[in-house]
Amino acid sequence: MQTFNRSIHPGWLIIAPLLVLVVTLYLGPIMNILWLSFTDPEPGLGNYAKLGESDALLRIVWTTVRICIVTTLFSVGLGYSIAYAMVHCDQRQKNYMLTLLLVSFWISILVRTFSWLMLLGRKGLVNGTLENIGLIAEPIAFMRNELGVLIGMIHYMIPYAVLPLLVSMQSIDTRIMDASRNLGASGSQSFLRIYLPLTLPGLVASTLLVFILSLGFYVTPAVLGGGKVLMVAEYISVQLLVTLKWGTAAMLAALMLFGVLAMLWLMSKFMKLSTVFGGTTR
Amino acid sequence: MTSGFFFKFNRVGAWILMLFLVTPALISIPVSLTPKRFLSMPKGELSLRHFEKLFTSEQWLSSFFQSGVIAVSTSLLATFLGTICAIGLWRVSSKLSELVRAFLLLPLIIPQIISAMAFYRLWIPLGLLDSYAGLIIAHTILAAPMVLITVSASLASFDPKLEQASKNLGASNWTTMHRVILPSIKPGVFAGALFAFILSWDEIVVTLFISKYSVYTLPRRMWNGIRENTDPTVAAAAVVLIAITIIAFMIFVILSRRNTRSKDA
Amino acid sequence: MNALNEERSKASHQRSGKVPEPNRRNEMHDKQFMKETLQDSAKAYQEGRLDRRTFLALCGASGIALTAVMAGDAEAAADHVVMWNWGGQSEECHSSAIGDAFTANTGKGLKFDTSGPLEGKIKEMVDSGNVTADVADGDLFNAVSLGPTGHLEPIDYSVVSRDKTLPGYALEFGVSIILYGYAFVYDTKAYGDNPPQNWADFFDTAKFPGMRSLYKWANGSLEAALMADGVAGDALYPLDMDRALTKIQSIKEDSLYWGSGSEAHSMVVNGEVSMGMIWQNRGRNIENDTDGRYKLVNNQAMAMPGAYIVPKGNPAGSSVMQFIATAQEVPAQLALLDCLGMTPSNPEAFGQIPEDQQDYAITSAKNIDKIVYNDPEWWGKNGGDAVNAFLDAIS
Repeated sequence: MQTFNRSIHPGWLIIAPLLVLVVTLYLGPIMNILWLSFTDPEPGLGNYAKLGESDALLRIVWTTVRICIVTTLFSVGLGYSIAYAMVHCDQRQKNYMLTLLLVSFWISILVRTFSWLMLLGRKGLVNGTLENIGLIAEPIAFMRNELGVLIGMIHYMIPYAVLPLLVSMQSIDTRIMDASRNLGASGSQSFLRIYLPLTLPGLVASTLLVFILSLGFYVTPAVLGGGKVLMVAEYISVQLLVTLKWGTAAMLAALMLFGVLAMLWLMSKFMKLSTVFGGTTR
Repeated sequence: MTSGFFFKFNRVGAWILMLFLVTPALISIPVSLTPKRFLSMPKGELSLRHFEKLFTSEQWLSSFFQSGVIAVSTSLLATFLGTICAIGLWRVSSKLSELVRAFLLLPLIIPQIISAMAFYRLWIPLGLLDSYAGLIIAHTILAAPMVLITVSASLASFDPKLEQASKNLGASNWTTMHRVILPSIKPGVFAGALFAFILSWDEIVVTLFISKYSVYTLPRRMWNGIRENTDPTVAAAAVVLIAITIIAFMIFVILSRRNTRSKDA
Repeated sequence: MNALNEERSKASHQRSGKVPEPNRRNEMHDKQFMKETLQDSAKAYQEGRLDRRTFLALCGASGIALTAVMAGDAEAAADHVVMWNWGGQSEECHSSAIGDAFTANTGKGLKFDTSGPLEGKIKEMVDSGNVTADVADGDLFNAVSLGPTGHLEPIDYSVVSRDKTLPGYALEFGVSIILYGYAFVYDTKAYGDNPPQNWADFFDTAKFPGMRSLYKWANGSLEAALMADGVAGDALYPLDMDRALTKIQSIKEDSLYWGSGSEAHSMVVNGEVSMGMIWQNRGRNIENDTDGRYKLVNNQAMAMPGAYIVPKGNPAGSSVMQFIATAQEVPAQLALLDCLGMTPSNPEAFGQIPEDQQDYAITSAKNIDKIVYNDPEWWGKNGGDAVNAFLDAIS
């Protein structure tokens, strides 16, 4: 076994198929397009310089980051409580919850955005009911603004947050918490110092997945934001398809890429990513 | 212990959240019965015309079928590739493998419109435009990172001592993999498969670029005519899918109950 | 072999690419002959028995792109013209209004690619060398922005007519077939006694309180803002961006912005706005869908030339020009109005617009004096920057 390790670990054999697929059928053209950020319309760093000059670009980036962070926080937080409830109740209730979770997956974005507008719009069900009861005089602006975007996005992301958390919670032995309390720790102590760290892999997976998915979102924000909440993914799409400023689009995409990679790098400084993602000790 | 105040509170909270999650699905039911030709709540009259259109229109049925085939294939392929890759990365566990793991998230991070253009450019010389294979491969590349993330989470919770124990008891690598590791990462694999399926099922941006006539998936059918108004048939389709999910789950529950009953007997 | 070549050359000289006479029986013979000739000559060319010049002449004469023939696609390319548009009703209406007449005249069918011909997609398609569409249903300013960069075929004005559209709307790389436009609808329940009548009223949220909706991709919204600020309809171009954006931002709090027709539709139909800018050709539908509660105002409506443009290297070659010419004919123009609400751009058709559609057609006698014309040259050159400036202002 020792001599084997010094050449190539056999694990690479099964890493290879996906790696080869991505490198041969994806990496090339992507790099080609991202390279446009340095060459279109003129060679140089002009597109990147625009970030410093243009207020608007910075605003769009900040809006995106802000919304994605809030969405991730709420989705993962709420997702955690759902997953926690699911592993701590009986099989029947768990099945019902799982069904409801799956059912919410099926709604296409068109139906979702319509439902939200129907429910929380100015003339929607909620506002209509509240006005009829007499609780409010003016409709509350839930939709067609940033709040609407957040509601729509969090709603979409919660199942994506729940499932990875479920995955990691299910493998925790329930007796551990009992043991901790028997040893004298309080409920919250047991949770914070025993349970939470054990669910860290699920938490990291969940956070990563939700954050990265949120970055790429643009249909929901475009519709639920009333056209006023402009996010990077939509802006990139407009530059590619309408204004033909491909250099700007490539620059923003490269920025997103570097941003996420930087975030991963930061995370790896605070925790051993390999142990979070799973690694055997040698 | 599970009956304490905190647990009760948490469970009630969870049910409220589930209700929040299901609300759009609930709304899609009356909307699918609207008599008008655009998404709206029915005021008085109900009409089954959208369901009729869904079940009798050859175009909608064929789109349903195509989306199904492509999504299932994507899910199988992405789950397989993503799972073995995650296992491999977990075994190797070196600085290089962590870099590779970060690299493999690329298709998820890059905005979909750029992925769409990239696939378009490469699919032309490869002759994959407007074909099932082209769409399946593209969707697989986009979905595999999600499988990677969920399976890695599963593997992280896997106690390495179990693997050691299995080896100590004399099991070969293959047996260990097959009968110890794989069963414990089932949740991660299923979650990944589900995500991959949904990604492919709902995918529109890449599909618009790399398909023309032969491949006309359900999202394309739904977004067709978006310049005018949204066809309520999408709500009918949503209701049908919800019904299928509920029925499938009920069957699963009944079957598993029968299993446990026969085990007890 | 030489005798055969001679005969084929003669045939190609006779058929110089002009529209064949509408004589059905000859048509079928011609078509069959053309098909066989092409297939034989493709084979002959590949085997080196036919020289390139003759082969090209043959292909050119029958209006078929070389690449399509070489790909063995002679049959497909000869038989179809592919229209790239947005699907939905547009597909049905173009099929019945133009497709049937075109097929009757030339024996060629009409196929649709409904993925939506955005400029970026057209550019990508031509750059990639794999052009699968013959004509795109776009805007006239696309012709100004994509034409000079070599992405479009010039319009063949010996087949297509310059006179069957408004002056200034027959450009080198695109010709306007219909006019759509930007107008607004207002809530009669909110403003019944004192209805708004022009863009100045639209932008006056003090006198007419309530939410507004504007087009997100700047086109139309900028002109409306300038007119509201007092600029005369014929003095709009070049657009004073600062002035327009200031006006837009003045009602930002009360504005929603729609990016697609369905959003515009839902904002009005769900009562989210008291005055909504819409694509003028959907006006009638919206009045019906709201049971008459929202009314269309055509005063100061902006006429937008919707145009047919041809991606460079299109598969059906020059036969697409015949398709465009068919679309210019009065029957096709009136059929498009009836089916899709798109106003004719052929002046010959203006007088023939039916009575019940005159309110909604912007070039009918009732409306033609009230409308303002969009300038495709300005939009072609400045559109990209204008859209970005608009997005910056509203976000």
